[in-house]
Amino acid sequence: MIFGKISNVFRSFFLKRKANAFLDRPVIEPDVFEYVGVIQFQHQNFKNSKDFHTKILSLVKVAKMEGSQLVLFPAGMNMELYSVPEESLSRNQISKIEDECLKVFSNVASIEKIYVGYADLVKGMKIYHFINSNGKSVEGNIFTIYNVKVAFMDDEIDEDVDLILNPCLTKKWAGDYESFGHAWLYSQQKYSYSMESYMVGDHFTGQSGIYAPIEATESMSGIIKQTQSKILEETLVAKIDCSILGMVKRKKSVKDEYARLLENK
Amino acid sequence: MFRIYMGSILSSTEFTKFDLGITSDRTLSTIGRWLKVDENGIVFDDSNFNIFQRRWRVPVTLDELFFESSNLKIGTLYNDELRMRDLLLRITEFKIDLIVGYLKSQSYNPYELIASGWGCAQTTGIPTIIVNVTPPENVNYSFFLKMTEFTDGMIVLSDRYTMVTFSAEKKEYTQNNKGQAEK
Repeated sequence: MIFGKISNVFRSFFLKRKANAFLDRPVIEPDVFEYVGVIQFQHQNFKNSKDFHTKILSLVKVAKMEGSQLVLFPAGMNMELYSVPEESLSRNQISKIEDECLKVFSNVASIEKIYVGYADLVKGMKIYHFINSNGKSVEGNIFTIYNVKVAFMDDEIDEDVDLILNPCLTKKWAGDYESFGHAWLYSQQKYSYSMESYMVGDHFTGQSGIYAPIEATESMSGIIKQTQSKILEETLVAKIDCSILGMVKRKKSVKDEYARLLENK
Repeated sequence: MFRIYMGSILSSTEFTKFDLGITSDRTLSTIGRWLKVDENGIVFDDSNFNIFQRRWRVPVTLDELFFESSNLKIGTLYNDELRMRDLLLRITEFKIDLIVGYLKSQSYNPYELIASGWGCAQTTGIPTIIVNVTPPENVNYSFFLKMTEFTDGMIVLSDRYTMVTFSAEKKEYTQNNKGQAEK
C-alpha cells in the first residue's frame, strides 16, 4: 500500500517533469538547410478548399516529422480545386482558384514553418509558386534558404544554383531509362541537387525523386531517393549536403575555361 | 542511310561495308573512313589521309569542334564538354548530324555514360556516339538518340564492337548486331 503511494508520487513527479520539459523547451529552428521533401501527389478533385487544406496539411506534417524544411508539390495543384474542366472556366474563375490554392499553401507553410514549392497549370503553362516559412509568397527566380540558392528548373537561369525544383504533371513512359529524365539530367549538367514531383492517380503517372550529380552520391548513380510507385502517393525526404556539392562544382570548374568560347557568337 | 561501325579495326573485318568506322585504335588503316578517338584527341582518317584533327583542349572558336565528310557534319566533344549544358545548347545552332564524344572514366559506370551520352543526345537532339575508356585499357562504345514516344534513346549502352545505321535526313536509326549486319 505504502509502496504503491510512493510509486504514484514518483510517477506523477516524473510525468510532470517530463511534460514541463516538453512544454518549456523552446522551439529550436535548425540553422542549416539539410532536409528536403518531395510529395508524389494523388490526384483527386476536391469538393472544397477546406478538404484540400486538410489534405495538404497532413502531407506536409508527415514530411516535416521526417525533418523536411522544404517540400515540393507537383504542377497542376490548382486543378485539384476545379469543379468543371478548365475549358468551361472563365479567366476570372481560374484566377480565383489560383488565389484559393495559394492561400491554402501559404497557410500550411506558416502553420508548419516550412518552405513550400508548387506550380499551377493554366492552359498548359506552369506558374511557379515559392512560399517561405512565414507563409509569404516569394517573387523572383532565385530564392535563398539560409545559404542555399534554390530555383525552379529553367534554362534561362545563368547563375549557379544549389537546388533545382521541378514540379511536373505527368510523364509518358518510353522505357525504363526514362526514370533518368528532366531533373536527374539537369543535376548532371548543372552540378546541382534537384527535386522532381509528379501528380499520380487517375490518368496521371510519374516517378518523383531527389537527385544529385553522380559524383555527389555514394552509389555514383545520382539518385538520392526515388518513389517506388509510378501511380501511388508517396512522400520522399532526404538529406542534402551543399558542401559536397561545392567540392564537386570546384572539381568541375572547367565551365569557367569555356566561358569566353560561349560568349563568342 | 549511314552505316557506322564502332570498335577495333581488327574486329571490323567481321562486318561488311560501312560508311564510317569509329575506333580508339591508332593503327594504320588503308581502307575506309575512320574516326580515331583516343586520350590525345580525334583524327578523321580517310584511307590514311588525315583530313581533320582536334586535340583535346579548350577550343578558341566553336568551329574547331566540327567537320564535314560525305554530307555528314560531325561534332566532337571531350569528357566534361559532354555535360556542359550551355555548350550543348549552343551546338544545336550548327545543324550537326552526329556527335562523337570521348569519355575517360575511373571505372565502368552506366550512370556516367547516360549522363554524358544520353544527356547530350537529349539536350542537343543529335545522335551521340561515346567512346568510353576505362583502366587498364578497356574501350566500349555507346550510341544514344533523343527519346521519342517510341524509344527511350538507349540504342547501345556499352558494347566492345557493334554497327549502327542511321539516316541523317529521315532521322531513322537502328542497331544491327553482327548477324544482321552480315546478311
